[in-house]
Amino acid sequence: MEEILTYEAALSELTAISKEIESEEISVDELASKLKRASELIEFCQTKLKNTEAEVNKIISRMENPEN
Amino acid sequence: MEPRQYIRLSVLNDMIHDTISSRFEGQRFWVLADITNHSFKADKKIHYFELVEKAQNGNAITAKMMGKSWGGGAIRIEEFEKNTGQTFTNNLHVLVQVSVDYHPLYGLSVSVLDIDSNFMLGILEQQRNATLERLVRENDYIQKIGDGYSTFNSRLQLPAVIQRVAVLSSSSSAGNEDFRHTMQHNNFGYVFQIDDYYTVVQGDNNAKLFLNKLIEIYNTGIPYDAVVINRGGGSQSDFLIFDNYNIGRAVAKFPIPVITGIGHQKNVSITDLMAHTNTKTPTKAAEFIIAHNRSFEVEILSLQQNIIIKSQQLFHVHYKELNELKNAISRNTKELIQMRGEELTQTNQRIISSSRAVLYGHQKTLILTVHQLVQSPKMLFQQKKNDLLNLKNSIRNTTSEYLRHEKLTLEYHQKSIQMMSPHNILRKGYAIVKVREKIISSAENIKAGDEIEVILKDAKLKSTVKEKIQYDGRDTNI
Repeated sequence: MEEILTYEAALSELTAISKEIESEEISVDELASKLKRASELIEFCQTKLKNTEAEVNKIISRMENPEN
Repeated sequence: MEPRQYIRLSVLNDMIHDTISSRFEGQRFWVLADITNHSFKADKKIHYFELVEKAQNGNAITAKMMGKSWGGGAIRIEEFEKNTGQTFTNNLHVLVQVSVDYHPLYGLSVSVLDIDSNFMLGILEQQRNATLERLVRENDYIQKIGDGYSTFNSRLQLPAVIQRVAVLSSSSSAGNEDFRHTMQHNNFGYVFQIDDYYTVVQGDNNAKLFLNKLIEIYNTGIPYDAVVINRGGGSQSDFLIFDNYNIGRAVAKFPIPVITGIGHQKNVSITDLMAHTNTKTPTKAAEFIIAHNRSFEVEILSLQQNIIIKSQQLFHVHYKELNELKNAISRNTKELIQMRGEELTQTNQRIISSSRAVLYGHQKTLILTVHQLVQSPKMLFQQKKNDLLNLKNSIRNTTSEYLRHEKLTLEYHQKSIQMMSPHNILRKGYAIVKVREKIISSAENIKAGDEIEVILKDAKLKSTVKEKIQYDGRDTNI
């Protein structure tokens, strides 16, 4: 299932999971699946950030050297 | 042809010099004149200027003379400045004492030896002030603000970038060439569209031409970013056109920002005051426009820089946030698992210990029960034995009692029987009566004449009944 995820949505879900784990509200049954989800979200966010940064840097370098 | 007679210029000038000297040497005149084109060499303390006289009505100059002042004259000028609070400068209408000089190289001039402080303001300045007052009075889009003026034109907003420029100047102006050169060879590679509108920019009487040119610029409909009025250097009197009322008024209400580059170092003309921006030379006007564009570019560059820095900061913040979340999740997950493990261990311990306790309890109960079970038959046995013993004793006691009682009863019955035995009764005086061999106890069936037998203790008496008498038996009641 391919989900359409935004960075904001991923980050807020990640924050929610983190809070759930931190406040010990999470059951052991769900822990592994939640952790797996969290790691997917982190990877998603990092990839998104890296891609965006690369794109932004490309745009910035075009901004700084408009001739190229 | 005969060669012409000639003399050298120096000889002519010497002749002029001699003539003038002989006429004016040692003479001094008090002269009424206006000062223009004044400059002061502070190191040598020499004033250079021109003395002018103008027509009674208007700005047309009718007389002009080079002037200078040094030494005693310069000291007198200094005193004049001190006395009047007025700088010795252009447009000053003054009464000065002069001597007339002629120099073969520098020409005719006067030296100012003294100045009358009573002539404070020159007519030029008065006229200029009058023109300014009239501009403010007759045009609601011109206001005097402090020392300066606010006009419709000065209130216009310059476009962020000035690219299309209309230039109003004279075709022969070197200053205009400076302007174009400065604009086209700027260090930043800015490209300008410069349209020239030529007119005559000197002499008060050319004001109409100038004005028409200004209107022509407007009528082209070209959306110019600015109109530049250029005029190269020259003597003060050549700039009177820029103090013209109509030109000042037209500039004040012109709908495109006007930048002046009117080449003069001393005066600010009325046109300058009415314009959006005034600069002192065409070159400075060009520099102003380039600086204006540059400031826009700098602003854009700084925005760009800001965007770069802010976006980098933003990435940094997001990376940090993500990392913190990642660390928190992994740390908290480990803690949670450890904690749940500990809870499990504790629960395990509790289950073990409570199971043991339950087992122990049951064991104890069992032992007690067994003990009780062992004890119970013995006791029952004992009890039964006791009961039996008691019963035995009771039976024995009851039996002997019963026997004794029976014996006593028997004895009593025996005694009773003994007492009731006929023998005993007879002994007590009673007799037994028999009839026909039967003992009777009632005389009912006896009648007189019947034979009866009376038995006593010791004899039997055979008798006949003589008589039968009834009684109530009271005789036995002895």
